[in-house]
Amino acid sequence: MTLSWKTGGFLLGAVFFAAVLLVKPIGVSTQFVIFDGILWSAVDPQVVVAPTEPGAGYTSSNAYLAKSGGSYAKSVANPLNYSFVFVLAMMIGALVSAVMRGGVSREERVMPAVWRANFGDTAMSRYAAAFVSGFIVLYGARLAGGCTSGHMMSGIMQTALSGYVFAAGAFLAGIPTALYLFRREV
Amino acid sequence: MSGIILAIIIGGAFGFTLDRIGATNPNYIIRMLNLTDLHLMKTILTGIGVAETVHRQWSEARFAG
Repeated sequence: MTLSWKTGGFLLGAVFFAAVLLVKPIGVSTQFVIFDGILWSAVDPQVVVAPTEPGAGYTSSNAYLAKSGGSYAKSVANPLNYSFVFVLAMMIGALVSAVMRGGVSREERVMPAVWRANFGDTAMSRYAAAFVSGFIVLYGARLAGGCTSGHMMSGIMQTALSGYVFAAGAFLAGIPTALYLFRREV
Repeated sequence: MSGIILAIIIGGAFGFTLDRIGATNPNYIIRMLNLTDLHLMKTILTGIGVAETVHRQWSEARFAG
């Protein structure tokens, strides 16, 4: 069962503040880039270039991995860093919670009930839509320099202007799209 | 090394909380966005509000002292 909005909201706020207090604001979508980089450099070891002299940073033949002083390239070379392990732990934490509350039914794992009510029972069309949507969401998140965690939650809690702009943009695009796509309720 | 332990603790708590508030359930996300059930929206806004308030108090105390 889901928590009441008061209890859930308090818990969520506590985790966000603990992260800022103890380490740094929570962010997730950057780690998709790091994971891509890990896969890429497994195929082509020349993508990430280690520092050649003391004091120099990591860099990459790819401009995106080389940006911010090579911090992405450095994380790709050392996957056992805070931000990457954080996202792995997040997935495990969610799994533990789901198992503890009795697991997710096989039907729900294939597709959520609200999708079934609107688009039917075909698993492949759900997977295809999820893949395309995931591509668009991640492209947008990297274009914006962050996702819902980084911009909307971590950003607004620090009263960063970018957080409010991101939240307005996300809901302005998301609400009409959802109203159009999901007309039938369960 | 302590950074990795913190990543496991805070990351694990974050994922656990996301699941408990319903944020891992696509039904809740879709019903929030098509405005039929605003429970998740209320939870997220409360979370941001709590974190923002505590963060503000903490920064003011830290920089005042």
